Parts: sequence; structure tokens; C-alpha cells
Amino acid sequence: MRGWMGVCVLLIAAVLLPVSRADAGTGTTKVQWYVTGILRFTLTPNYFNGYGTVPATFGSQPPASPGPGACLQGCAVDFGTVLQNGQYLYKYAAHLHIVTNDVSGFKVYGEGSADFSDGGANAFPVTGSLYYLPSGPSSDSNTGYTPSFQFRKTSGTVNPAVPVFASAPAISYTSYPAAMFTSSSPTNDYYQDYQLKVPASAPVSASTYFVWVVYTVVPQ
Amino acid sequence: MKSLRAPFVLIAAAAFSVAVGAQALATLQVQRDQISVTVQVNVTPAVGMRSPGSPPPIALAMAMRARGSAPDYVAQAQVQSAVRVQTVVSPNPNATLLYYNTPAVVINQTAGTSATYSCAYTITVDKTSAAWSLDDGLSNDFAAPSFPGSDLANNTYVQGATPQPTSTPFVVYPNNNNAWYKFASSIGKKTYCVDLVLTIPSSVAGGAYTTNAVYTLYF
Repeated sequence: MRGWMGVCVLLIAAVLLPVSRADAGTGTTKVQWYVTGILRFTLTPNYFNGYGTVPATFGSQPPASPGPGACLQGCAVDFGTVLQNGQYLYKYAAHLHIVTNDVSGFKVYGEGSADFSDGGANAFPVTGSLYYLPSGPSSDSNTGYTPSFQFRKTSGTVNPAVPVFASAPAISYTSYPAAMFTSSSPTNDYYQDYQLKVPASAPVSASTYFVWVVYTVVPQ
Repeated sequence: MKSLRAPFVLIAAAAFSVAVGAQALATLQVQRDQISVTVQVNVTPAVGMRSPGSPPPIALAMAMRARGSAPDYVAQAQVQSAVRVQTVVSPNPNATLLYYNTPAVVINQTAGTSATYSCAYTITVDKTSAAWSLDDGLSNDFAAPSFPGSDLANNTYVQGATPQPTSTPFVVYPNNNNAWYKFASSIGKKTYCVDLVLTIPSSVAGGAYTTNAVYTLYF
């Protein structure tokens, strides 16, 4: 009985085997894969020697002088002590280095997370006060009067809602503002100076005013 | 003849002293303050023009996509990073000598058109104890890439008064031998309304362009 069953199994296998071979030669196989999106963003304040504040003037430019809260390739963009109604340039303020594997490129948004605040009752608007303009990786011919663009106060949701000097907030968007940059290549570098126009009405304060500028990079 | 000579000499001497005095007064005036109003123009391209970096026409976009099959892409939503900007504000006793009502003006306009923006901003001089003069001009042509700053004209008049009959193109400082345009001399407090008249050439591509309207006070 066992021998009879073994013969049957062998016969069935012999019949099916050639059929399988023929199918393997003409069939289609669906291969599907996913590529994990890579998006790396490095933000470096005070990215080059010579960073710091220059009062706005025409003609020969005074040397840059940062405030005590700035340090080479890190820390804060510190304009130092400024005058009400004064206008200033800050050289080599921020370097944005972005790498993605999205062949369509990416967009960069940059906004003030709040108004300038001294952590107490004093404040003045970031919109109209703080500006950005293109700079170079290691040379910079800008002045306090070189054309620039406004940083605006975000209309997104900021967390934490109350600005904290020592920690950066996050902004969540339901819709993005106008892009600061649009890159059609997956990797790019941007170099920025800042300008500050201090309102004549900015309250004098012994405390340090601060605002976090938040950059957001989104693949296209 | 002799009787005429003495009055003539007197008149000539008087005229000479007036001229020298006026010149001395002018040269004695020194720059006391300088402010700028940012003028940003968001240009919509003229019909038939395409902005640099804008998507290619549909047929071309389809051809590009058909050429290769891109892998399914799972996009990482977004990445954020932040920098703290800080400063200490100190008092400026001269902060109200010369000031504006807004630090920046944003204009949205189509290339190939001309438009007037009434009292786009005001400039106030507040100096009661001395005669002063006020210069204006643009820091640069519109950048970038560029279109001429002289395409922006101004009609500047004392607030509440009648505007000038015509507007005057701004001088662009670096294109004007590094010189400003003197548009007012007075004493006391005066606020000026600045109407802007902008004509954008039709060849200007879509995008954002900026310059600074600079005001310099002397007394």
C-alpha cells in the first residue's frame, strides 16, 4: 500500500513539473519598493570669521562687532547694544545646508516665532524690524542699506506659546507662508546676513530682547 | 560817475556776503540722522511671460515624467531648526528727529503696468531749534536680479496739503555719483506724505524685488 502511494505522488509531481517551468519563463512579477525620504538640515549661526554687527552707513564700513551672546559657528545672532531708531547689518548670520534625496528639491520657510521680547512686559514687532539678505560663504560686501526681505511673525501654531530664551520653539503649519527659497536641486546651501531696524518706539530695557527665527525645510 | 561807484561797491559787497553766508550755512549743515523705508515689489509676470523657476509647460512636464519611472517616494514631512536673535535696546535722544510711520512697504503689481500708491508712508522731521534740510533717494536699483530704481517715482508733500502736480523719479545713490536729492528745507516739525508711482517694465520677470528709500537729515 505504501509503495503504491509513493508511485502516485511521483507521477503527479512528474506531470506538474514541466508546467511550472513553462510558467516561470513567461510570467510577470511585481516588485514594489519604497525609498525612505532623507532630509538633513544644518543651520549654523555666525558661520564665518568676521561675523557681527555693523551700523548702517554708506561709504567705508566699520568693522563688525558681535554682542556677547554670539560665538563662531554657534550660539545666538547677537546684535549687541543698539539704539532706538538705529539700523544695523549683521554679517555672516546664518548658513543653511540642506541635503535631501528628493529629486524635485525642497522649499525653505523662515519666520519669527514671536515678536521681540525681553522676557517681561517689553516687546517690539519682529515684522518690519528684522530682515534677511543673501551673503557669501567667506566674503560679504553688504551694508545696512543693501536690499533685504522682512522676517515676518508666524501665523502658525508655536510651541511653547510663550517664548523661552534658552530653548527653541517649534511651529506647526496648516498652510505654509511664502517660501524664502525654492530649490530645484536636492542639495543646496544658503548664506544669509540679517538687518535690524530698531523702532523709535522700542522700549528701553536692561534685559535682552530675543526672538527665535525658525526655519522649516519641506521636500517639494 | 564817481557818485555811482560807491553804491555799486556797497551793493556788490552785500551780495557777496549774502552769497558767502548762504554757502557757509549750507556747508555748515552736517548729517544728523539717516533712516530708510524698505520698498518690496512682488511682481506678477506680464501675460505670456514665465517666471524663472516656474514649472515648465504641461506637455514638457509630461514628457519629462514619462522618460523614467520615479520610485515611490515617502516624504519626510518637514525639518525645523531655529536660531535665537537677540539685542539690547538703549535710549537714543535723537530717535525722534527723523522717523517713518512704517519701516517697510510691500507692493504687489503686474509687470508692464503703472500704479500710484497714495501716502504709502510718511516721513517726519522734528527739529524746532534749527533750520534743517532733508535729502532722499534709493540705496540701489531694485534687486535681484534687477530693474531700475528710477522706475519708482515719488510725490512728496506736507501731510494734509495738496500733492505736487507731478511726481519725480527717485535718484539712485550709486548711479548719481553717490549723491542724494535735496527735496526739502524748513524749520520745526513737518510730516511728509510720500505717494509712490511705480512703473514696471513688461520684461521684468515675476518675483520679489527690494530697495530702500533713504532719508538723510542735515542741520
